[in-house]
Amino acid sequence: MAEIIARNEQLVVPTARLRTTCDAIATRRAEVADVAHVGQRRAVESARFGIGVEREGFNLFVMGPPGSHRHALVTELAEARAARKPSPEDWCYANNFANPERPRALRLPAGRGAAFREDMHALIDEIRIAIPAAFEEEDYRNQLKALESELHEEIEQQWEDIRRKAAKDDIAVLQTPSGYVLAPLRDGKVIDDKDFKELPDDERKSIEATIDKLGEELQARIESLPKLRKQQHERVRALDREVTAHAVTVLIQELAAKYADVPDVAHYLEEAREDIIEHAQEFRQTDEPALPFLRNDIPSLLMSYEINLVVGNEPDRPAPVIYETNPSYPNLVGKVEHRAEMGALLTDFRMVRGGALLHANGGYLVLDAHRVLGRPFAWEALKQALFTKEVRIESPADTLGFATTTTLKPEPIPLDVKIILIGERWLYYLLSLYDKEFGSLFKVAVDLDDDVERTGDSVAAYAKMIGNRVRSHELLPFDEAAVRRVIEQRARQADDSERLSMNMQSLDDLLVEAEYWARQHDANSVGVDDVVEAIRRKKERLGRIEKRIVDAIERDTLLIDTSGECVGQINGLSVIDLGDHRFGHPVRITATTRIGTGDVVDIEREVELGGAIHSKGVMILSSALSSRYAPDTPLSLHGSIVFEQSYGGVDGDSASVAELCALLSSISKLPIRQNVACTGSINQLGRVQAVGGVNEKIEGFYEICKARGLDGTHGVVIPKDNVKHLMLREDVVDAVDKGRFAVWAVETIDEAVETLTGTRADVVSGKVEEQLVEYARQRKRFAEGTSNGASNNE
Amino acid sequence: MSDADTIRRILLAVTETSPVETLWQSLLDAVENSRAEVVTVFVRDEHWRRAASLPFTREISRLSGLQAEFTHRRARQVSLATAVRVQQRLEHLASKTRLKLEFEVVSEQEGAELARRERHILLVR
Repeated sequence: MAEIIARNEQLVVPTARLRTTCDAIATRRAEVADVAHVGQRRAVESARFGIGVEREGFNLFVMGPPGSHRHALVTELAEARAARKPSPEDWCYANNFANPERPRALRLPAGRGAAFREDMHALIDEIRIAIPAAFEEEDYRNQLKALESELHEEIEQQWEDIRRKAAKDDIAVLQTPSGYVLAPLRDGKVIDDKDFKELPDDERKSIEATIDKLGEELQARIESLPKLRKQQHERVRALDREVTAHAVTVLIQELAAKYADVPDVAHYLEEAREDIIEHAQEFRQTDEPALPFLRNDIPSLLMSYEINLVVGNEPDRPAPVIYETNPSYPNLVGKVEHRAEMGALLTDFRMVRGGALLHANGGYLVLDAHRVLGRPFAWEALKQALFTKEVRIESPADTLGFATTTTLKPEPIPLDVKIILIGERWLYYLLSLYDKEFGSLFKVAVDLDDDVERTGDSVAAYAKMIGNRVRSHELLPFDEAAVRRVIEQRARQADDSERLSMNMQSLDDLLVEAEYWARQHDANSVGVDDVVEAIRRKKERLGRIEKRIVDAIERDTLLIDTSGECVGQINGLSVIDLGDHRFGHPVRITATTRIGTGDVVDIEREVELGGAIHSKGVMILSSALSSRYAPDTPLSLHGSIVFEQSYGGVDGDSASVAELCALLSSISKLPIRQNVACTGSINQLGRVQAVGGVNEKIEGFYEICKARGLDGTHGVVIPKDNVKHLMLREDVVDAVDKGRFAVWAVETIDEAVETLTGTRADVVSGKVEEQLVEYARQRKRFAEGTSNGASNNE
Repeated sequence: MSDADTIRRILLAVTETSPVETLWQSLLDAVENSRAEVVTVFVRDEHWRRAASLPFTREISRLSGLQAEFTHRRARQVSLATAVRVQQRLEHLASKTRLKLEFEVVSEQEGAELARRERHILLVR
């Protein structure tokens, strides 16, 4: 017994290992970069590489859990790089005079887009005055009058010719309201049918022939009138063009000289000049709307010379770094807006709106991957833009070919943007696996660590980072002890005494909450007690379910023994994760055994409450059982294991050590201590392996034992490999320090069994082997008996 | 006895080619200081009827140059339209004065008969 106690003592985890405190912070001066990106060296290097490579497809996918400082990290690195890049060009949409449904994209140097828009606005105002004024000129009026007279004279001349010819042959040209009638005259009067018949045949025929001929000539003259009027119209138009050209060219020349270095604008201005001249007549009309209820701020013709500044940048500013929080299709690509007028939806080039891709053109666009994937058509549109290296502002219905109405198809704008997608790891791997285009578009993976190694240097940098965040959030200053306590809590949140969590969201929450409690007692700074209070209060706020479970155990609704011994019954440990809060609690595991055919039944699996990992754990322990304790004998046992009073799903293999111990106890009839709980997974060779949530599990059992009264016999058996993860609460450590609670770290199933049964492992093994041999013998006897019985029956 | 005392009716006879405005002014001059009644008569021109009676007469459209048969019906329409146009013109002129206008349409023959029968009229034509 003394031997066992001595061995048990060796397994006890020293108090110092139960919680690795942060006793001092190195005073070295951490570099700024180190402070900003503590422990993310690999990720920072990847991000710098991805942001720096100006090649196709080298877009970034930043992986890491929410709250891991992902946005801040990439935004900071992108902004640093963007500061060295020139401000990108401006983009405008202007009317396409040849094809208004396809607005023209104009590229201008940064800052000149807005100026050009204003210049065109001023030009329109000037043209509105200059053109009508030109048509009011005396010279123009005289020329127009001359043209009109020319036509009038020409027409009159033609009539005169006809009348003269008719009069010469005694034919009257009578005018009806809608035409002309040719009739023979005698003594100045039209003759009637009676008089006509009295004329000699020759004369009659001659009159008829003359009237026919004159009629044909009259008809030909009438038919030629539209042509004459058309010629006249063309001459007037030519005159108008000449007048307009003179007025407009003078105005546009100045603008053309200003933008001579911008080819797109120079070309556009020439087209605009031609169009203005073409529509000279319309500039002479009033600004009144066609109908009084129609909106007519300025005539529609003038609108067509406006400029739609889609992307306007300021010169001498860095390239843009844009984070689009709602990457819907229109927000990403852009859209063509419409206005309702008289029940119809109208649009034009002025209603084309750019999206985030255009606004980030020449720079960096940060997007949340799950949001892009969750918005209809956004992911496909993003890939399309990256593949074609241009942005086409179309409605999704157009893209899919569903739209049947005429709409705008603005000219595409060349795209040169670096996309930084931010998402969780599973999303990256899913996209890599299922989207064949993903790999060629997002070649740079930036994998942010969830935690950082806890070293002197990293602690110093971490402390500096805490200071920076305190300042950036404008919190009360934290004293050094408070910072050290925060760092300890960060190790606890990392589930590892040798690492620090990099979840910045939870860090900020802790800092803000600690500061709140400091302010409650009017402190000028945040002390360690405030940090402890913040941790305690948060646990309390989220602890309703935990409290209910503890209450149920204390009231013996959930049956957990914390004293005495029992065969085939053990206290396992379970963890419940509620997202923001995680806690452990003991759970009773029982095992029963009898003669059988070598199968160990996992009741949880049988009723489909056990997960795959749990089933795997039970199969492994079954294998360990047979290989360790019945290597030369057929395993002739039937065992069953169950989590008592468990009504939900069970998963994980962290109870496999406890389950095996319960089985061994059942086989050997050696009782297990109920004042000890056990966690750990086992492999086929009997090695105890690390599990998750070890701190919560220990604290969960401690709570129950404490409630029932700690007597120095209580404790928890954990895998030795989990010792480095221990960051137990101060009160648990204190209890251990005072000898009222213990934590044993075991490496093998023998160490666990010895601690749990208080019996030497070889003795337990001997009893188990003996019982398994007995089961085998009984089974053989049973089989032979059955066989003999069968023979006798024959 | 002056003319103004003896003239009881003033007859304004116009044809489709009469200078209506000039004749109207002459009428206004004559009616001044007189209480004579004013009667306007449109003397229908017979040349439309005569032209329509000829088998070969065509009306040539001013708009298209197309030719159509010029029938008696069409002649009546043209004559009536001309009379309406003249009447409207005269009414317009009369509206600028206090004169009350009577308008009649007569044939050439009736017009000549009217001028011969009435002794106390001033014929403006």
